[in-house]
Amino acid sequence: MEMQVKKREWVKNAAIIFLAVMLVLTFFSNTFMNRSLPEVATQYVQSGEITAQIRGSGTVTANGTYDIILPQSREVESVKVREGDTVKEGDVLFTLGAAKSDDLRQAQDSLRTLVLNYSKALIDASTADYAKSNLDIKRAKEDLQAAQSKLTKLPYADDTTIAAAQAKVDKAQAAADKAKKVLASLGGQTSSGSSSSEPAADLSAAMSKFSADQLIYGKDYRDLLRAVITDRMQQAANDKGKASVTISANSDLVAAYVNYEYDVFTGASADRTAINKVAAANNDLAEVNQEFASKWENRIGTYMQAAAEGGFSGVSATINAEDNQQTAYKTLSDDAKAVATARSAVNSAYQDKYLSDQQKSAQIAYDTASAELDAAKASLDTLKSEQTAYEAQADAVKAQQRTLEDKLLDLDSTKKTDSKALEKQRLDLADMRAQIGSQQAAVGEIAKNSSETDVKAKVSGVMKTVTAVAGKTYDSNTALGTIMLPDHGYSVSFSVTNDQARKVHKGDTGTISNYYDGQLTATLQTIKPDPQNPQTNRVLVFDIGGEVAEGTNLSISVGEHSAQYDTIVPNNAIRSDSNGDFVLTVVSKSSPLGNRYIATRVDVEKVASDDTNTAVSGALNVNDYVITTSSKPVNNKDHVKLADS
Amino acid sequence: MRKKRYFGRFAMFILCAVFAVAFLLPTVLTITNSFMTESEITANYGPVFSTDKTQSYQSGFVNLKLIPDKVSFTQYINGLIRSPDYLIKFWNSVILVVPIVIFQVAIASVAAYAFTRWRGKWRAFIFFFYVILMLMPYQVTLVPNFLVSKWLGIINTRWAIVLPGIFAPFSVFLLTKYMRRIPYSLIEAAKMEGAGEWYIFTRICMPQCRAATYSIAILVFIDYWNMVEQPLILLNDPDKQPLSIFLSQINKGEIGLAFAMATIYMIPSLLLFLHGEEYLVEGIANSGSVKG
Repeated sequence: MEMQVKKREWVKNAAIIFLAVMLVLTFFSNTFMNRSLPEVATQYVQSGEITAQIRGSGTVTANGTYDIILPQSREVESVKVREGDTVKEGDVLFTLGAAKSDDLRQAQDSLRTLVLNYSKALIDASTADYAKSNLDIKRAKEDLQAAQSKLTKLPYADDTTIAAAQAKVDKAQAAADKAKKVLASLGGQTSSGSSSSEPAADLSAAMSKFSADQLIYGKDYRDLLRAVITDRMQQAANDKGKASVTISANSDLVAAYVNYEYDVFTGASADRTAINKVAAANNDLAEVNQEFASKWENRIGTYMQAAAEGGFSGVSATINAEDNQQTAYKTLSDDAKAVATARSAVNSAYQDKYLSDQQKSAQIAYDTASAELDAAKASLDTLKSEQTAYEAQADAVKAQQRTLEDKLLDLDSTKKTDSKALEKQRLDLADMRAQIGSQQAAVGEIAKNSSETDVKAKVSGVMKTVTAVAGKTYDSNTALGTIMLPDHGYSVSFSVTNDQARKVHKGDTGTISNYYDGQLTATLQTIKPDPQNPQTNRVLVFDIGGEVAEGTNLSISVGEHSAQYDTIVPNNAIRSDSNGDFVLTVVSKSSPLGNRYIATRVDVEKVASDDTNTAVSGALNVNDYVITTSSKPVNNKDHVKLADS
Repeated sequence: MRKKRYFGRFAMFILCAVFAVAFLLPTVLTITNSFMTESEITANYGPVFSTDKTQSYQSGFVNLKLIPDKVSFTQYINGLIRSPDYLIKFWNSVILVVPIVIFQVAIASVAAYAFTRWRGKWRAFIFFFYVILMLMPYQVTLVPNFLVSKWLGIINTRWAIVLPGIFAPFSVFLLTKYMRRIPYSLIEAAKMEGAGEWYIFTRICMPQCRAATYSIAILVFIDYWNMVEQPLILLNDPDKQPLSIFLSQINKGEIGLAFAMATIYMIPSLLLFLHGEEYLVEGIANSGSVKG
């Protein structure tokens, strides 16, 4: 318990001490703080009048000067004046050496060169000579005449003649083509004639043999036909589905058909009725013949079967009958073929004989036409060659004409060119003559000047500069010195800003602040753009009146008219940084612990200023405090303390 | 068996040490860093607070350092001597908190006595209403507080902080719970002796409730000593704002100064706690243990 009480006492004491320390620190806090704060001097913002002064300084320069120019390259022998000397018109300023000047020498050299060039130009001046051109033209004319006479001697085939010859050729060509076609249709160029044998006799013999064989083998062949046809019809009757077979098993019909077949086979004229009747059966003819042929093969089997069944006699009888029929067929068939061959030979012989005659006449016609065609072509070729030769000669004549024309034109052009060149040459020579004349005049002038040994003042004034040194040679047109012309007066100029320039006017009188010898006046003569900063600055030029020497530095102030302004602050209150001009005002802040002063930035714009004060525009009120000076650098929002006044 | 027990105790010790470090580290860091120079602090914590990334001396990461390279009182001198601003803020805190603590304890005592002695039928309802109010977070009532303050015309004055602070339900609840522990026979005996209500309240109840009163005072002091939202909303004038507002705005670049002022600022709370430590424990322990 006692420990707790002790602890509580300790804590209580600590709390009291803590609070006491805090109180003491608080009490002295302002004092401590103020020791470290910058001390500032302030002034009220006021309203009032300001007369703005624009100040500047410049060097006095003379308004008029005269440069003494050396007219020719000469040596300056002696200098008779010094800077600042007053000279009158006619006074000798410099004496020159008597030596012949380089300028005269150079001028004479130039004159000689010009004369020489003129002489050379005269020699080189050419005259026109056209003998060769005339000779060429004459020869060209002769060549042209020769070509023309040759042309007139040549035969000339015109287009109409050639067209007629061409028509003749075309016509002969058509006739030849036609004869050729006829000849081709008849089978060739020539015919070999009939065969070697006698076709008629062969035909007769063959027909005789055929008739004889008919008598012998006709019956057997008819039997053979009947058997085959009957068999065929029987087979057709059995095969009811075969619609193409319309022949019935009529014996008359069979007979008729047999007769027809036989007649056809033998070549006799057939009964047309029978033909009509059997027409439907014609389709089977080939098949019948085929069967007839194959039957002989089947017979072998039949014979073999008969031999097996009926013995050799039966077979023999059958074979005989068959052989007879076969023999009849073969004999008649061969005879028919022989007759057909003989008949064909007869026909062929006849045709050969007929064709031979036709071909011969056709060949003659063709040969005639070909000969006419060749003649026509030859005629045409001759005409064409004549025309070609004539045209070639005509071209040659044209070429000669052109050559002659070209030569004539060339001659004409040469004459024109020569005329221009001669004119130019004439002008050049005239110019050279003029140059020689002027150069002669210059030489004369220089020679005259060379005789003068004094350089005299042409105006009265004060020597501003003397640049020539005795004993030194100077080039022509060098300024040996400058004479000031006091009658033209003196001026001073300096640069001011555009804003300042706007506040003054031509004719304003400036005050010269640094010149006390005599009475000087400065009058604003000109306001012109500053060549150094034409956008922002202007140059004020003052006319200086009174006794003054050139080169004197003068400070001039020129005043603006007074004006009333609401907010005027001391010049040293104006501060500036990259954001522009500003002033620092002192804002006081009351607290339980006392007043505190805070520097506060107020941006301003200068309106006008004089030596001590500046009129500004900005968020300033009359009676605001602005900081003018401070013991340490002061920034915006800094705490400051006021200087003891 | 013994080894196992030792191992368990050792593990528990390590765990407690870790938690202790975790809880103490911010406080220790604040105190030790307050003795560092501004440049050292910038070098350690520059990336956290600085917007100027071109400074080459800044380390690329936060460097927690407990021991200063060179012990310096510059921050204390800057805060306490060179500028009176922070002292004024300290006294602003005192001016705001002390009336709140005194009047809140006074009013809560009377209210708690009424809840204890009064047997009316609305007593339970009103007490319940107090509990509900107590459960409300402060942010819920901040806007109504602002509106009422504006209506009363006390916005931007200290009254806007003090008045809502005085009438806080938490103290009433805690004291009521505590007073209900006082035996009724004691009050009966006093009455029989002829004591009036005021006499009973001042001479019998309040001495009995000294621990609870003290604990309430400490809790209320700490609560309002650390307040941030109320001054930010209700006090626009920086000259009237307490030091806790400045400490909540350390990101303005004066971190070294913030360490120093935080160290100063924790002293009153610490002293108050040390002074009434046993009362605080007793008061909180007993306030909820007896049925009212």
